[in-house]
Amino acid sequence: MKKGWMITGIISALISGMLMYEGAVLFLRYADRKMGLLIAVSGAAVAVLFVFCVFESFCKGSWNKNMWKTDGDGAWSSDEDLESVIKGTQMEFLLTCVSFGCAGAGVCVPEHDP
Amino acid sequence: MKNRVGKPILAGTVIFLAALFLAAVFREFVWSLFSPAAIVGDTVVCASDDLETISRKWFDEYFSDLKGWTVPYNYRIEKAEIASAEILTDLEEPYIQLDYQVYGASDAVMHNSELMWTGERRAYTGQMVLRWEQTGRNTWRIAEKLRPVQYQIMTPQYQEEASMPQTQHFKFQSDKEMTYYVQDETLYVTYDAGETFSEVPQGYEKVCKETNNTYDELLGENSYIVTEEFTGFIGYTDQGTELIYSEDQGKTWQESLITESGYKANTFLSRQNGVCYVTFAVDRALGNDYYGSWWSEDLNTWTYITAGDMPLSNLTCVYWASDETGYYAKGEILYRITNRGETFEEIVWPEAVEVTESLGFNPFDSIDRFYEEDGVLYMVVGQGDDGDYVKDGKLSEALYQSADGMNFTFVREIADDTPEEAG
Repeated sequence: MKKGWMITGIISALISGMLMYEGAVLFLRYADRKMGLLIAVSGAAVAVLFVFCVFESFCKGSWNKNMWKTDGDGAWSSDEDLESVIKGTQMEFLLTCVSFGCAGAGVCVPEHDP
Repeated sequence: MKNRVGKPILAGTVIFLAALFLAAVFREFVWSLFSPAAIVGDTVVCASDDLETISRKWFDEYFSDLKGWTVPYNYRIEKAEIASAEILTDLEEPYIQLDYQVYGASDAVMHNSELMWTGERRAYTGQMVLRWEQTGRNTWRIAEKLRPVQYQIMTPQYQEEASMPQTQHFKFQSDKEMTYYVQDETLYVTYDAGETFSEVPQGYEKVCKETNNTYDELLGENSYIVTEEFTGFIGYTDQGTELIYSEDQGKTWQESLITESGYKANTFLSRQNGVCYVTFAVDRALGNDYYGSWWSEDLNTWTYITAGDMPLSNLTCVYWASDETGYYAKGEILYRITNRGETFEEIVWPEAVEVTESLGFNPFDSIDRFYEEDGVLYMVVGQGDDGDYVKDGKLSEALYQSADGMNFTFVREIADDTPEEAG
């Protein structure tokens, strides 16, 4: 899983880098400010996924630190622990969706610029 | 804690910068591999031999290569379509002109000098003229590509127009109350310094047209008359030479055929005491124009003036004064005719000594015109075609006067009042 996040992070970094570089070229070399900013911002949107991937790679399970915390009998330590695990998982899911959503928007928007 | 947070940030930053660098290198490398296909020499396979069909097929294929992420932004397009296709047949081989519209992937395509911006964001137009040649069964190759203006220059019509000398236009002389004016290939006269104009019917064709089919819009000073009592021009037609005149300030015009011969070279018209005198070229030999003169009192019957042995070639000025004396000038040589041609004599006129002494030479060597004022005959002598003596920014002329019509004396220098060329 960690390796998966690292690979996704590298890919998203490359895509983000390409978009941001293209945006800079358009903005500075060809003076197309609008398109340059749009593509650069798209790159930044993809970079959100990269950041998330880095976090997942290095800090995986930070919201789940209590997930496998059981007593000696295999039961959950407490109801509060279970509740925090559920909340952490929900948060992680939400952030994953947001990150991939941003990345998706960043990749798709330049292709369909009005 | 700090280390746990700092490590991913540092790692992430390094990875991102490395990725940015790699991405930049990669994009530049991919873009550097791109080069737009040359249009001339490009081929298309098309079963039809209709130029438009061939051109449209080639166009679609050519511009589809300009789409996609591998194409640099200054070439990359989103869409291209032909707005119109016209087959041109002015030359031996048919050409086809394509007017097309291109939608760029960004405004960077404006750096492509072949395209013109329409004003709409990322929309550009282009034009090209192509000549196709068949190189094989169903294979067509672009043999030549031109811009529309390049094609126009090649057409016989343009070549013919370009080889003709351009007509020089002149500004209206607003300081003259009664004069002529040429505008938009029409000859006008005015009696109120340009407030109103009357058109001389067919005046431009008859009066201004030269033998080489060009037009001379600068009429010589003694070649026309514009006064309230009488207005006249010499016109040249296929039927002969005629006097075009009006006696009611341009309201109505009449024509009087002088002779069936004659052609436009220098033209001279005088009117004294109701008698018109005309002089114009009637023959040409060995590069010399030979002139003839006529007079008429009723503007119906014209009488030829026989000038004996007086040389009548290459005249530069002819003027008939109020005492029925004719002055015929050929450069600086001046003859005086009396009794309507029965006698003639050469008149010697003096140099403008003051000018000659200061310059070291005499620049005034071509008699330009005569006029009368308060019973005194005035003669204006110019510098000819090679004149370059300028005073206060204008070419200088010499003014002479004579009370008896025989002896002329220098009065002063005057400025050449030839109309300025119109811009």
